[in-house]
Amino acid sequence: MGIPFKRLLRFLIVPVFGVLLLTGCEEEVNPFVEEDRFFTLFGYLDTASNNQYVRLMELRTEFADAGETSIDAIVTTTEIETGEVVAWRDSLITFGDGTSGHVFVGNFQPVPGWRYQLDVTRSDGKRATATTLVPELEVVDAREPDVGFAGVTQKIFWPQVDFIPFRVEVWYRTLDTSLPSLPFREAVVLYGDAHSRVGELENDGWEIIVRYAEDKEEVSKQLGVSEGAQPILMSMGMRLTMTDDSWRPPDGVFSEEILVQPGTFSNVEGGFGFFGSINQLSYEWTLDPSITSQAGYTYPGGKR
Amino acid sequence: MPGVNVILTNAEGELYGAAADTDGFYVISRVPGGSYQLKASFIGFKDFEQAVVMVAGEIQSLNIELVVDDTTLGELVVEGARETAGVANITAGLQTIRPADISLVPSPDISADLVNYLTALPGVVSQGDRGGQLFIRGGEPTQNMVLLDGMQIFQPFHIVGFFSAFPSDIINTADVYAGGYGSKFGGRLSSVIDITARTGNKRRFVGAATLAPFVSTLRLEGPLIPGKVSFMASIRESVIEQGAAKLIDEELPFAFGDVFAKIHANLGKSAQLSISGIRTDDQGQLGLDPLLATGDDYIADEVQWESYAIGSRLLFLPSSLPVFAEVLVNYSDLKNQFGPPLDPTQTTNATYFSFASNVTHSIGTTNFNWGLFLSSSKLDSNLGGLFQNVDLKIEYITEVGAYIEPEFNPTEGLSIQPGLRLQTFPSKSETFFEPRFRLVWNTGIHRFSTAAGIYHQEITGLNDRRNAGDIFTAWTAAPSTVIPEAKHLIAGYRIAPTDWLTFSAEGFYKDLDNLVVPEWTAYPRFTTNIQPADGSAKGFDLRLELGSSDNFQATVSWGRSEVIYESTARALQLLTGDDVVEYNPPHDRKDQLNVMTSMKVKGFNFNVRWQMGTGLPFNESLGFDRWIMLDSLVNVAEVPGEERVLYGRPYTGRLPTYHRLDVSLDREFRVGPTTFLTFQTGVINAYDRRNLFYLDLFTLRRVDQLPLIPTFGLKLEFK
Repeated sequence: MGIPFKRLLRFLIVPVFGVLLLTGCEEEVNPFVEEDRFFTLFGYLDTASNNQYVRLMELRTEFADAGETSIDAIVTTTEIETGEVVAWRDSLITFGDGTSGHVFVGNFQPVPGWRYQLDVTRSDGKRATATTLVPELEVVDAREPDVGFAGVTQKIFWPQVDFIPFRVEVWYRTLDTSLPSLPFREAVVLYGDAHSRVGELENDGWEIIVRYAEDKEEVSKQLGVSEGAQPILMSMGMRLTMTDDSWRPPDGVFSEEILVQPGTFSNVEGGFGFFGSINQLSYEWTLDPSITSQAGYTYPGGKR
Repeated sequence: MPGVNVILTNAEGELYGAAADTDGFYVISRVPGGSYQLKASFIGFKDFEQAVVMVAGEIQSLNIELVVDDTTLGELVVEGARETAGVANITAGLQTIRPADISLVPSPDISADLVNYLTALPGVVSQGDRGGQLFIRGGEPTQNMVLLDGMQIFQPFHIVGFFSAFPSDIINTADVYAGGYGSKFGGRLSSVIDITARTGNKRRFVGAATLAPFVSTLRLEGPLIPGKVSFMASIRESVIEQGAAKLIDEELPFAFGDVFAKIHANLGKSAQLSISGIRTDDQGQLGLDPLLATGDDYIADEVQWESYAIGSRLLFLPSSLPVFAEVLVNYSDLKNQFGPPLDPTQTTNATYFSFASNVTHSIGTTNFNWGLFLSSSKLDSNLGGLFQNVDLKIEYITEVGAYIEPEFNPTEGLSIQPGLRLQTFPSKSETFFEPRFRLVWNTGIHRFSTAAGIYHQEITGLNDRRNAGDIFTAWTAAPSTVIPEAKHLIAGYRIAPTDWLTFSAEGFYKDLDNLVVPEWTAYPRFTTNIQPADGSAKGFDLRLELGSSDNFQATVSWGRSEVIYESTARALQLLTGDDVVEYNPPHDRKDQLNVMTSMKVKGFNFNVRWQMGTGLPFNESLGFDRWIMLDSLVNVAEVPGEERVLYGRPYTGRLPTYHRLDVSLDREFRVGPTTFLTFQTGVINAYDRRNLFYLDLFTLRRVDQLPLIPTFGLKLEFK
């Protein structure tokens, strides 16, 4: 081997050991990303209740939930319209599976159409915040009833509702003169259930069809009369349990596999989770005598 | 005997020649009529010389028997050409490996192993020193085809990363195609490792036995019919729990073994028959299930696999025709399971039968290569709910096809090989045309090469790369609408300016479509859906080789690459806000550096290897929380929620850089006329680097690769 070979060896040794030094002695690995997010919260305001609930969790770096008995957080809501601040109180709940968690309770009844800001503040000033605008009813359009082979149907159009309601109820208010102390009785028919919603998006609003003939069996059952009986129908109504505008899953579908992705369905700044609101939107209408009769009921003042 | 140089010289000094192929056949074509002196030479053997007279238009065949040159035995050091193929000797993705190459790599076993050399190659990423998973230029382990004497081995690497099913002692040559392989091969997306086993000694009985902290081996070979039929048998069994585990006082719950046997017969002057068989078995515990790993009575999941294969190979080289032909019939079987040792939750069984014939017609300077193949597979897997949207059933897949791949040699040093492979799957009504191309141009000290091709993989392996501790692979047919496809392009350059210096540079690009990957989910569970992804792998490697004899060799190789997967899974789109989400999968090692030196001083062989690899990707998170599905009027005061991992974008974290120094020293002593005793000592991970194998994000439990291990070995060999 001549001189060029030795030179080449020296040429190689320098970069090789240089790389060795550059790679360093780092052996540890931190699997956690440092970010300015510390809390996860889930909850919503309900206009039908005087008590509001929010589940609050601190982000953990240990997989096994140790079930901490205390949480470093102060939770408040602020009514944007009035500036009034409500402090929520913490309660440690033991769930059915044996685990425990912090549920904060706010004692107030939210007002439809008002905006609320939820703040979760740590003792060092770190904060997570979310706002919600409680939905309110503005306009409803009860279309003319249709009489067909399936009996009487009627479309109720909610122009400001652009998403599937969580709950749809139709009530029938009847008059029973045999009970002078309780002359008015209501039968409430639940349309669909939590996992089988009704109605469809139509012209940017939500349209739900009331099917009188299909409801008759349930109404009769609740009133305790035979299906052939024709109760006196005073009025009709529909009640939607409706979420606020931000409570919309991506692609309009509540898919567990998608929504579980962190941040995919979240309106919490400085944290994870979701804070929304719901309201019961109600609308009442009456039927004319002939439709009332064709629907299997008696018009008030009419002959049974 | 492969690699023997056969040269014809006439009175005018004109030379014609060839090197014997892996079967020992040689063909010298376009030789004008006249008188010649034939010379055959190979290191360690006496030159063979004979005068021959060639008649124009006639074909002559000559069997040559080389005699061992005793001066190369014993403690004499013979200066001469090296036996290694060399790290830098890569041609358009093809690297040929010989046992002498493998012996340069320090190993915990005195009987070296192919996998130690493979992991020293740039572009080959190993999961670590356990798991037995190799990723070749961006391809996943299930996208590598591994053949031993034509038999397909489904899971060829043992659970401890220092060992494959192929001890160096049984290997004749191993051709590693890191991509761009020719039309003869198909059915895998990434690479082909084509290993030819040695044939046994046909003259006398020889053998070897070794003892080392990881494995003990025994090899025996000899004539069944002297001069005509030989056998070779090799058996290895791990002794880790009795050996290495005690040395480092650490639990190493791994066990493996392999048995190989080969019978080879010369059927007259122009035909050979070989029958080979192999069986491997592995078992071990690689990780913990974080959802269950609490309490003292927890039993860790165990992965276990057992594979065997048997095959025959019939070779023809008719003395009257310029034709070389081989017929291969093979059967392979793999059983793989994962879960509690006595009650595995995931199982797979793959059986594979194949028939293939490969023919080469030599006409002038052109070799017309063509072949036919037929295979039938049975795949039966139970995933235990691992992939929720996969409903596996017993599948039977038949494949028939043909290929043609002429090799044109229009001028000296230039070889052009266009090819076309036709594969049909009658049971699935699918047909693929796969064009291939290969060009090699040797001019003086320079070699330019390029290769390209399109590849499909009908039988694919499903595995869950989210958990490094789970190397279970389920073999199944790819869904008909999403057959994985790859397009390869390789271009390389090699220069050998002196006999002690070789340098090569090679770039590659692989376009990958319809890969099957686990779906991204924030649930900390080990069941999920699978989803399609596309991707690409690109990079280059530089290799420098110094030294020209057994006395000193050194190689430095650096590989740089990037593997990108692209997903359009809705969950990832929403998580990232991107329409196409790109990420580096967990085997994307950006840079690899390998330095190896081998010196022989006063009979001692001193081998050193230092390897470095930048960190592999892993999933970082912001932590853990519980998640509540607010899809109805959920009472958050009553619903506990489900555990969730707060992942960010996929695989944004990088594990620490991996590096390790291995050293070995050995010396062979002659203790009898044909009996040799070799002592070996060495250190694996000489500076005790804490290289991470596996970090469990849930328990933060860290599993490191092996610490500093002193090794020693003893080999008794009868040559």
